[in-house]
Amino acid sequence: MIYEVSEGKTTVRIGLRELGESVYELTIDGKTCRVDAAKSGRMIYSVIENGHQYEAIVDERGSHGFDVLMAGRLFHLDATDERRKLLAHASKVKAEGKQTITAQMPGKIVKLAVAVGDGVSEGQGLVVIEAMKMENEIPSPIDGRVVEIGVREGEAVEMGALLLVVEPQT
Amino acid sequence: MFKKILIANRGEIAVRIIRACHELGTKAVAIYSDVDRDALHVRYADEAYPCGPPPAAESYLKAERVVAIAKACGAEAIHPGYGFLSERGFFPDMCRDAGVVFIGPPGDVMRTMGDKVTARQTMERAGVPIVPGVTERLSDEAAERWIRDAGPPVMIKASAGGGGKGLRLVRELSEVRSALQRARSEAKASFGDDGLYIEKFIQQPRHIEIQLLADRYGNVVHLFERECSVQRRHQKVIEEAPANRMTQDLRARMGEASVAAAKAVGYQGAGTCEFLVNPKGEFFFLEMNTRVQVEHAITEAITGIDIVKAMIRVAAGEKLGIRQDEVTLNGHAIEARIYAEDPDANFAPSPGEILSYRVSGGPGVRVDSGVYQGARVTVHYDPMVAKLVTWGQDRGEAIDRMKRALSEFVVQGIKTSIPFHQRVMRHPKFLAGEYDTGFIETHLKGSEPADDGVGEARRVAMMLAAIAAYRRDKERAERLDFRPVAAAAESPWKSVGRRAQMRGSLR
Repeated sequence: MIYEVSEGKTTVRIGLRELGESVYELTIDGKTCRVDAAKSGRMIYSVIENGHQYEAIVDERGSHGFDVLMAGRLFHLDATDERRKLLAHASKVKAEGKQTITAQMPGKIVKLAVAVGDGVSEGQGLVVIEAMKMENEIPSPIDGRVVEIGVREGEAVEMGALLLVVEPQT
Repeated sequence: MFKKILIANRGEIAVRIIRACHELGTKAVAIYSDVDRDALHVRYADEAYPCGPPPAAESYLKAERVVAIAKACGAEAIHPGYGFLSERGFFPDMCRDAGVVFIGPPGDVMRTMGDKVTARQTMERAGVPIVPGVTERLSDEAAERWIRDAGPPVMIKASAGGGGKGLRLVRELSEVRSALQRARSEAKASFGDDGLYIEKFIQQPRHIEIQLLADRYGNVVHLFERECSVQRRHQKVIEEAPANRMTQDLRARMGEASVAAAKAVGYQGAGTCEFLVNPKGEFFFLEMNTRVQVEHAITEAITGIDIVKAMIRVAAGEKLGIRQDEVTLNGHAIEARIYAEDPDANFAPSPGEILSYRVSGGPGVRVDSGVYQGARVTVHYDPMVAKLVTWGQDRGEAIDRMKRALSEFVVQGIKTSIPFHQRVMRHPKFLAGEYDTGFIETHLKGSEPADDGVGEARRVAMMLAAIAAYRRDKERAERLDFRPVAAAAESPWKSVGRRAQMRGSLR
């Protein structure tokens, strides 16, 4: 996962991978390192990186603000999941009219939750695609009725393949 | 010695006084307002009685009620702490009339020293230097003549004043007339009284105060000085003892002047004479605090004298039992007042529940605090949550210990001034001891300039922010699984899919 971490106007992209209980692999400025970040209390972290230990007190500020008090200094940081930011941006546009839903990535249809003619509501799961060993549920963008289904359960699909069509109910 | 003392206070000072009582084998009685039922001072006390609703005016300031509680529970004395009833001139009299000992000076002494004008006059008679000025009400013409003779800069102050209202700094003679007019109209509007007085303005002043102890037999000693020049909006933030740039000669003269003043008014108990000291080393009496000070602990650290126990002993009629030449100064001490305030929101109070609390420890560290994990900091009272005091053999060691102790101190749930103190502890002017009461205003406005050695900390902090964000997102996703069973049963795929989304499978 990629997190965008910013301090004031400076933004840094940090790659994060969970390796185990409180152990992470982080990529920052092209360098990859292994960090053990143990949490105690509410948000008191002990960070060990390459033998260097730092204690830090983290306070959440708003939806993605983190105030980190460390080494005698208070850093006001914002950390956002880059992908979620894109999603949040995309979801701001309210879907209208007939919706053609296509696969955003190649994968396998592991679950088809609806049939043609079913009434669906916005946000309701329609289909689950497995891609890169992770399952992703595709929600209905609108309230409406399923008028067409282009895939079967168990089928492999390419990116851009037609999955379903949902029409608004009038 | 008293068998039982009522402490008419709350917070860290109530805890401090209870500790002194217990060391003396005296029972301690706490009083508490409705929001303080769970406060630490109640838990440390031997007896505790409610004193009213949360606003201080309806509880801790209800003098008759406090005295009635003391009488009813058989407390022989009342310790007022600081704030609340500690400097209300009528209160010692009320205690005396009820047959309860007030731990502090007699009422008339408190009233004399509490009034600005009579305090100045008393000090002047005792030969203590005061800020040059005129205290009688002046006509505009007389005021102008005085300023012309004395020379600017001067401060024009409202006789009935306080809180900066009716206060005018005059730097040029040409400003005198308009400044007088505006000060008068402001004073009239604020206090219904347009009386003014004038003082010479002390430039680049340092705030230095002398700690006094006096018994009822006329014995008075001073316990050296404290420097309290790190102030914000006339509120002390960091104090140290001894003062910076202090000479043996100046210390002796300030100490002797304070002792002379205390003797002149028949002072009893612990008290403090506050002075302004200019860059030339001239000192001027500012006011006297007729009670225990917040910052008394740094004096205890360098002298080894327990000021609160001494107050109780002399109030019980004991002699001081120490001569001036037996008071010794050992090492250096610093106090950082940890306030519940947000340094990023112009130091606005930050009330709330303390979710985690871990105090500093180790050599040379003392924490006086009135809170604990799970305690609430309310809007009703002083926002100070703890006093962190460090002692060292010299100033350098005291500062090093303060830095270390600040890094160990953890308070979560509310914002505190800990990061602010850490910033002061690395400021070159503070480290050099070269600062005056304008220090915060002059040197700590805005954000700190970036310096070497922070880059590494910043990099780790940024990584930690990413980790904290990731863990929070993950915990939230997991919480979504604990929805009501019926809803979850409807579509197990939904939660799986959502969790997968949260984890970030869309690479």
